[in-house]
Amino acid sequence: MSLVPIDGEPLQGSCTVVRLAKLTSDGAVAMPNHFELSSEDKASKLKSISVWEESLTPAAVARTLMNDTDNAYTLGLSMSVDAIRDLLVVIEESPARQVISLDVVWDGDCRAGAEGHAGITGLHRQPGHPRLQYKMMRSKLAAIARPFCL
Amino acid sequence: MAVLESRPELFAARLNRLEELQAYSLNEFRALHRLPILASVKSTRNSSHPSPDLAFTTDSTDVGRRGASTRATGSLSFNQLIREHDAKKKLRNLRDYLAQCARRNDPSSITALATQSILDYLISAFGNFLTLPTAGLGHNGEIMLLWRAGAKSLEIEILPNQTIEFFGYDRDSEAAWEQSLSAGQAIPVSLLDLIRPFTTA
Repeated sequence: MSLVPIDGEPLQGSCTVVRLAKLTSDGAVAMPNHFELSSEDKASKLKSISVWEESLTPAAVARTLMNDTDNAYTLGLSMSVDAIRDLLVVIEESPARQVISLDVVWDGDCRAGAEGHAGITGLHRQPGHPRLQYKMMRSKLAAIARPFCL
Repeated sequence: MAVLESRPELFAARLNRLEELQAYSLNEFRALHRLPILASVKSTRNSSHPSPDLAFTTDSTDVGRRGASTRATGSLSFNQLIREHDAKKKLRNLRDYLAQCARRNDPSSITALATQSILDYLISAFGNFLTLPTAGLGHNGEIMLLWRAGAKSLEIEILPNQTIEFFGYDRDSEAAWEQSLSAGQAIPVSLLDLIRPFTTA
């Protein structure tokens, strides 16, 4: 486990990461679709959803790095890395019982201030895995996220 | 019991203005999913839950009228007034949010209007009993309507390709179900039963 960012290495469990999203009709509310992989995420090497370790890259800085000129990403979803790793979903339908779990790893970004860039892995649906379990997982993520306005 | 906002003329005006902005018509979307809107139902405060099997029409301006028809003629208790106020505010926020999405074309005016159309359908079906959902944009141009009641949740996701995905989940029991409707598939009335746990009936 690493507190110093090394690409692909897991973060320390005590770290807190923030996912940036768009405000909802009720303001700061964590919703399951905030944890869907974007097309960029799916095309990336890690196939992870983009998050920011808050002590290295605060949410406001992350927003600047996202070039959010439209002020669209004004919702922060804060989660402890340990809590993310504790989430499990079991796939019973597959030939052998499988478990979906998540990890949080550093995802190198060489821009100034972007040292805290990381990714939550495990949300990209594997071929043959039922979609239902991935929806369950993103629902669990939304339940543990602490939303705040930026 | 909360009474929903009733300003169909304003909503219709807003809808017409938005429809001018796009080539795709909302009625086309409704036709695509054969999305029925219930005719205005003459219900009273003492009526039982409106049946989803009532005759359908495609008159979108009926949405909200039921709210007015069910408005109490007598005096409401303080708690009822608070609930009515909260429901009005939430519905206004929801409609403003979706109208803003459509204006900004973020995610797309079609998806935003389709979401509004589904919301109106549910309000028509359940009237004052419907607990209003939270709407939120995702990262891929989809809009989600989300209901939560303790560990239970219901998601209706409207994707940019006009697919509608329904997902129900109970985090305590790990029970889950899903149904996906592609463009051209009608919304089965049986799905309304799955929404009932999120009503106040």
